[in-house]
Amino acid sequence: MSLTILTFLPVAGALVMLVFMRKRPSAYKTTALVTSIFTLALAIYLATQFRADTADFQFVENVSWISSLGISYHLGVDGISLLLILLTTLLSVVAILGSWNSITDRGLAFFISLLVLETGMLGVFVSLDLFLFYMFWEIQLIPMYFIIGLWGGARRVYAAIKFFLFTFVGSVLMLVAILAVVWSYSKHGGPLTFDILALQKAGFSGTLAIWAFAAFFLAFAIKVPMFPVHTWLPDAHTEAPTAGSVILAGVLLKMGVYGMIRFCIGFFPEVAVKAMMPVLILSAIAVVYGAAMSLVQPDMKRLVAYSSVSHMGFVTAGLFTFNQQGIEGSVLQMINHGILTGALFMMVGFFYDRTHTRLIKDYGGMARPMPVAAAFFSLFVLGSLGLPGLNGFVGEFLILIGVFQYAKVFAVIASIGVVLGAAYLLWMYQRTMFQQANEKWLSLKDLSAREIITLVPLVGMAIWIGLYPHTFLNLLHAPAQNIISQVQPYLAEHGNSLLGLASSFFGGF
Amino acid sequence: MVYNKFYMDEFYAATVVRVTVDGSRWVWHRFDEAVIDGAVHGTAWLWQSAGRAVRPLQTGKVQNYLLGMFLGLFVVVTVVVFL
Repeated sequence: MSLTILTFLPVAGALVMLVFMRKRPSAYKTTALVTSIFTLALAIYLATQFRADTADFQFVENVSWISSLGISYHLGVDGISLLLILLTTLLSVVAILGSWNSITDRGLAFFISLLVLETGMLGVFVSLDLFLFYMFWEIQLIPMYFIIGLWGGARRVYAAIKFFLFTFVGSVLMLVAILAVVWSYSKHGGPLTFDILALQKAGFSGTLAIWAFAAFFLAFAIKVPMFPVHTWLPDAHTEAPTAGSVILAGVLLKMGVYGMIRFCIGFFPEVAVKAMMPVLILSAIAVVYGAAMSLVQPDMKRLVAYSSVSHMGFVTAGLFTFNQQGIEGSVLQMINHGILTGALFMMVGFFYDRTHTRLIKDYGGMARPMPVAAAFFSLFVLGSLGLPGLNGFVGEFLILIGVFQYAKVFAVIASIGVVLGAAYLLWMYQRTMFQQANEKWLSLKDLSAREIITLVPLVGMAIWIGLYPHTFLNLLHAPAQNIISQVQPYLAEHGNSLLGLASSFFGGF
Repeated sequence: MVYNKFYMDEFYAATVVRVTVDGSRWVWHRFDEAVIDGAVHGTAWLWQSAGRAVRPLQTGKVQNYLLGMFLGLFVVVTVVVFL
C-alpha cells in the first residue's frame, strides 16, 4: 500500500484544497506545502526501509486491473527509482515553497497543478506495468502544459505548445512501440501482458526490436533532451514560472533517462549494445554543443536551460558505457543535476521576483545589495561546474571514468564541456554579481527567511552528496549490476564486431 | 612589457576566447535557431499550409458535399466494376 499512498497523496491534498479552500489562499498554500512535506517524509521513510543489497523491486503491489488485456496495477521500486522519488518529492516541496508569493493570479489552480504533477511524476517512477506507466507519463504533461501556458513569461503560449507537441510526438510513437512489444510477446507464446518485468525477460530480437527500440528511444531522447531534439527545452524552461522550471529541469528530464534504463536497455539489451556508439556520439555533441550555446545566452534562465542539455549529455553518455562507474555516475548525476539546476532556476527566480528582468546585462554588482543571495548562488554555480567537494563533481568524475574505459576520445571531448561549463557559469556569475553595480538594484532586499529555507535543503544535499556520496551510490550498486548483466552477453558478442573495431580505434590513442 | 605580462591575457582574449564566444554565437543563430528550430517551425508551417490548402473545400453548401459524394461514389463503383 505504501507506494499507492505515496503516489496519490499529492492528488488527495489537491482535492482537499479544491473542495474546502477555494477562496482562502493562505489555507490552500499551507495545505499544498504540508501535503508535499508529508509525501517527502513518506519517501524518506521508505528509503530507510529499503534494502540496498538487491536489485529486486521492493514495496511491490500487484493487483489485476484490466485482466482481459493483461493490464495490472503493478508498482515497485529499485534503487534507481527510489532515488528519483526522493528527488521528486524534495523538489516538489522546494517548488511550492519557492513560489509562495510569486504566484498571485489563480493561485489555487497553480498549486493544484503542482500537486497533480507530483502524482504524475511519482507514478512514472513506481509503475511496473507499461499501461500504467504510459498513463502517468501522459498525465504529467497536462499540468505542466498549464503551468507554462498560464503562469509563464511573455512567450508562454508558444513555449507551452512547443513543449506539448514535442513530447507528444515522442510519446505517441512510444505507444505504438508498447503495443508492438506486447503483441509480439503474446504472439510468440507468452501471455498477453503489459507487465514490465515479464517483458524484460522476453528477450526481443530482430527487426521488431530495432524499430521498437528506435520509437522508445526517440520518445525518451526528446524528454532528456538529446541533441538535436532539444529546442523545446530552452523555450519551455525560460518561459515557465520558477516552480515550473525547477520541476521541468529537476525531474521531467530524468524521466527520459529513466525510460531508457527501463525500456531501451531493459527490453532490448541487444539493440542497446549496438546503439552504444551512436548514443555516445550524440551525447558528446550535446555536452559540448549545450555548453557552447550556454556561453552566448543573454538571458540567465536560457543559459541555465542550455546548460541542462550539456549536463544531460553527460548522463546519457555515462549510461551507455554499460560499466559500473558509468551507470552509477549517470544516475547520481541525474540527482545532482536536479538539485543544482533546480537551485539555479530558483535563484534566478528570486532575482527575477525583485528586478523583473532575466537579462544578464541588466544585472551587475548584485552581491552588494544581496550578499546572502550571492553566497548561495556561488555555491550552486560552483557545484554545477563540478567543484570537488560538491555533488556535481562526483557524478561527472564517475561518468568520465566510465566513458574513459569505453573510449578515451569521448572522455576528452566531454572534458571540453566541463571547461566550457566553468567558463559560462563563472562568466555569468561575474557579470551579474560583481562588476559595475546597477544603481536601480542597490536598494533591493536580500533573501527572506522563506527563500533561505527553500534553498537550505538543496545546499545540504549538494554538500552531502559531494562529501559522502556512498549513502546514495550504495543504492545504485545492485541496479547497476543488474543493467550490466542484461547487456553482458551482447557486449561480449560484439567484442570482435565492427563496434569493437571502432571502439578500439577510438580508444587507441 | 613585463608589467603587462607580455600581453598574454590580451592575446588569449583576442584568440581563444574570441573564437569560442563568437563561434558559439554564430552556431546559436545560424544553426540552433535557423536550422534545428527552423526544421521544427517548417514542420508546423507545412501542416498549417496543408490545412489552408484544403480549407476552401469546406463551403457549408450541401449541394457541394452532395456533388463530392456522387463523384466519389462514381469513382468507387467504376473501380469495383471495371477493375
